[in-house]
Amino acid sequence: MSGAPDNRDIDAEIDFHLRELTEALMADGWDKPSARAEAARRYGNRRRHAAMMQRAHQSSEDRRLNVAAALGAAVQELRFAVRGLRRAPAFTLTAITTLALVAGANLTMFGIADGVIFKPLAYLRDPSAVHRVYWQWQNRGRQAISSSTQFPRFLDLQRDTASFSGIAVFADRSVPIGEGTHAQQRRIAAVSASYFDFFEAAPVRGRFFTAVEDVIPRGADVAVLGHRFWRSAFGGREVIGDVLRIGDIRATIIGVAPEGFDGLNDGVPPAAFVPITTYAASTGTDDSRTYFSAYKWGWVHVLVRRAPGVNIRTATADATRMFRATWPRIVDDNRSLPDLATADPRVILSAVRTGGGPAAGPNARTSLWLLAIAVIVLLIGCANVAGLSLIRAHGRRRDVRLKRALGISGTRLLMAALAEAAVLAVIAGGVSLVVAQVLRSALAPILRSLQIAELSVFSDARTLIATGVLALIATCVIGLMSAMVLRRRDLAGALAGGARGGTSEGRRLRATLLAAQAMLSIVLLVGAGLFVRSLIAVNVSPLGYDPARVVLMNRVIPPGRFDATKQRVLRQELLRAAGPLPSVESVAWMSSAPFVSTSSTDVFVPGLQDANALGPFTFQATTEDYFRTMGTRILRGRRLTAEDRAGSPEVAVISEDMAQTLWPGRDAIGQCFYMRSKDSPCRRVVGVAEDMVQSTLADGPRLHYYVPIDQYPRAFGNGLIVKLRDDSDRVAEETRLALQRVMPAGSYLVSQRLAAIVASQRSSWRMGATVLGGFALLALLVAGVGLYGAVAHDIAQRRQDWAIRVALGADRRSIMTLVIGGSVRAVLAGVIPGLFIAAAFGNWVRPLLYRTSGVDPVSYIVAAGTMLGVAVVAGTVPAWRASRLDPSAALRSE
Amino acid sequence: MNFMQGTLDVLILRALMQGPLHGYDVVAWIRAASGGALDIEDGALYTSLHRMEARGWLTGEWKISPKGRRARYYRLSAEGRRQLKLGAREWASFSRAVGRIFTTGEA
Repeated sequence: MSGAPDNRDIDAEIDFHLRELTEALMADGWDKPSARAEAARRYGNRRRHAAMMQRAHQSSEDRRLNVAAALGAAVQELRFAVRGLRRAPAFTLTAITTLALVAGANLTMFGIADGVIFKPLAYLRDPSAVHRVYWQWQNRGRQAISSSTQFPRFLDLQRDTASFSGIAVFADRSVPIGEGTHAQQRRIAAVSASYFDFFEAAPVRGRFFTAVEDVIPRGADVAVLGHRFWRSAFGGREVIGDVLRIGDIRATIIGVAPEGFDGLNDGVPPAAFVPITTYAASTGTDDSRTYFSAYKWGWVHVLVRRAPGVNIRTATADATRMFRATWPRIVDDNRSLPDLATADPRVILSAVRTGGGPAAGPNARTSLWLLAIAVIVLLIGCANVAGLSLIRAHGRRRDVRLKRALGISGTRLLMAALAEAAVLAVIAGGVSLVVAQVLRSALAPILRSLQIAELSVFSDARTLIATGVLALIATCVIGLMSAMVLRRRDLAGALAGGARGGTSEGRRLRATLLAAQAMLSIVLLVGAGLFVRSLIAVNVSPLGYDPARVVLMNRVIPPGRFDATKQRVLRQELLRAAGPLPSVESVAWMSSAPFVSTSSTDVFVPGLQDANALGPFTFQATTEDYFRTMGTRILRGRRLTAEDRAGSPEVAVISEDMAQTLWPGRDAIGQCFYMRSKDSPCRRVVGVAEDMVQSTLADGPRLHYYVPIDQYPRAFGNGLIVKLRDDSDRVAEETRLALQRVMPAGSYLVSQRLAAIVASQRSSWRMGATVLGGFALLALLVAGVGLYGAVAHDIAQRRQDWAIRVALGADRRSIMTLVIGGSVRAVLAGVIPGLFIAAAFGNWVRPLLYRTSGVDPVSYIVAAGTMLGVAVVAGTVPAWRASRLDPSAALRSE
Repeated sequence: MNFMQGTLDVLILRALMQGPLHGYDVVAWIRAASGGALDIEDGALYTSLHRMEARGWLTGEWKISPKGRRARYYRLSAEGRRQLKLGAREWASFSRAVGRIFTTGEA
């Protein structure tokens, strides 16, 4: 016999010893009783020694065998759990659906936050040592922080710091690529040659450019194509040596980047990489001549790699020292900046993704918010499943009693609870991936606007890891919630005891879980309500134009090559060509495009001391069909006409707000103002148009006016504004191509739909309303299911009570009221604190809202009403059942 | 305590040098060999036996004793022999050292 002896073996061994000794003593002349007593005395404390003998084996068994034993026990528990769950399909299905939905929502939000903030860039070498450089200074009592800067600071970093083994500079630009009618606006990356050293990527064709091709003042005219662009525009054919027009560069293609090498922009990968010195010098502006020496043009971003052994503090101090030393020179070029002492400039080395850095934009902030909310929803889901399994434990009280009678310890019951939670979590985790994939497809437009790469959640390692973590969290939360109950022996006893619904503590706990769910749901409902109200407010707030079917066609022409005459000729040719096109309803020229570019000048008003202090006044230099094309209404007076030409009396149409600001209480028509300087003739107001949104949807002055472009030759304008007969991308593109034929060589038309521009301005409210609304509905659904389960269970437990009521003559109505009232009361306990918590959060989200107060009463009333409505619905079916109980049958049953 | 336990282990191993013995024989041999000078509870010896069995110094086996009773017999393993040699050497050097102290002290 080998292995650890059991209790009987040890007893037998001791018995043998005692008998042998007793016999030996008797042989020495002891009588039997005293020999026995002596043997026992010499042996010592029998129980203690037996226990020690046992333990001697256990301690070594722990080392060798317990891992295997524990694994075996765990597998056993899991098998039991699976069997138990299969016997309760309704519970299992509800629990898995609940968990899969909340986990799927979490994975989706995780994917968004990860893409905006956390995910390391593809191919990036040793990401922990790589930082984006952020520049911080104080200006007029406010802290400015930015990741964009001027090119010379990159040179300063290279020259005056010693902490970095790599420094790269890059910029994201949008330029037309291709020749003539084939030219299309695309994103490109202008990068330094050192940029490629940050990545472990090899070109799939040719090579990347090197330092000799990236030199001041102008680098070589070469380009490396992005993989996706190479596939879509060239079909992946051999392109090395071909010449491609990129903006104003005629670039020789020298390489193709590998798939997924998207630089710092993996949402909209660049079509091509060009040397940053080549790009900077090619743009032909004043800035481009001095880009490497003047601290004026802030357009580049800087990436650094810390040298081995240099910690982040040392590196930051080194870069800050350089930044401070060059500050006076920066101030020389930017007179509005304060001196060194006031500015206190500092460098921050932080996340490569701006979303994770100190200058994170609203998208990053919003996605973190939503991620936090997703976690709340997860907790609601866990609370719900824990509540349901408590109900189930109560239903299985005989089972529990049996287990306890068999001597199964509390630890084993706990293990069983954990095993059940684990099985549920793992299955739900798998399903949640499907949910997440569906949600990602549904949210695709939002993801695109956030520049998050499209990916499949099934193949993304980070999503899979997140799923695992979620499953683990869910297992622990649900398992521990159940375990908290089971650990308390009295409650376990109460569960085990057959008292009808007499589990006061268990019921109190379930009530607490329900109230908590209701509370969290209310917070989400209020949040969603606030965003929906904002979205409605922003959608109904008048724009002052109708963006439907309106397309902006901006012309892109090489700078300096078009004088005023040529500009005018081109304008007239384009207008003449566009007018008769069958797809065009009306067309006008524009100098300002809403949200894209807005011009303003000083205005002077006779009899008004300083009109510009009321400003700024923005203007549109345009042609006669402007108002028809934009759908902007003329409130009084007339619109601009063909008669308003160069040489005729100078006129203007002004916005309602401008009219009331400059001539309050008087009729603006017939008044006059000077545009730009008092030397020009006084311009007469001939019409008042409705206010229109120019650069921001936020509330503010709408001081805007319209002048005939022929009467303001300073403005060349941006291009055409076209109202199409048909609202489709295809028609817009056909129109653009038809007009492109009029454009001289080397110049382009780029089209944008006004509706898309406006929509992107409204996107943060839409995202807030959509995602929060989705979460709130999910929370509501989950809470409703939990509530239904709890009410139905209580009815089932206390059938006799209800039956007695029916027998005593309670009518159905009063029973329904009683049951539904109970359901409503359970929720009410959570609704009231929930409203207060929501009010506290309301003030935080205030800046994200549009014309909606953080304590907007409608949102709160609707949220509370909805939650209570769910309580009524959840209570109705059980109530109906209770009212229909057959008293005799119910009383017989136990 | 450690010293005592270690010593007890060595004594038991020494007893089993003669061949497989059951617990009672081990106790009886130690008692006889030490002239009854060791005042240890018999139970402690059994704990020691089981501890060494768990460590793999001994192997235990149920057999029938000459008197026809089921008894658990213990036998030295190779590791047990090694431990005995080690223990005996330690004990010898310890007792020599202590002996030297007392002889010099008397001189």
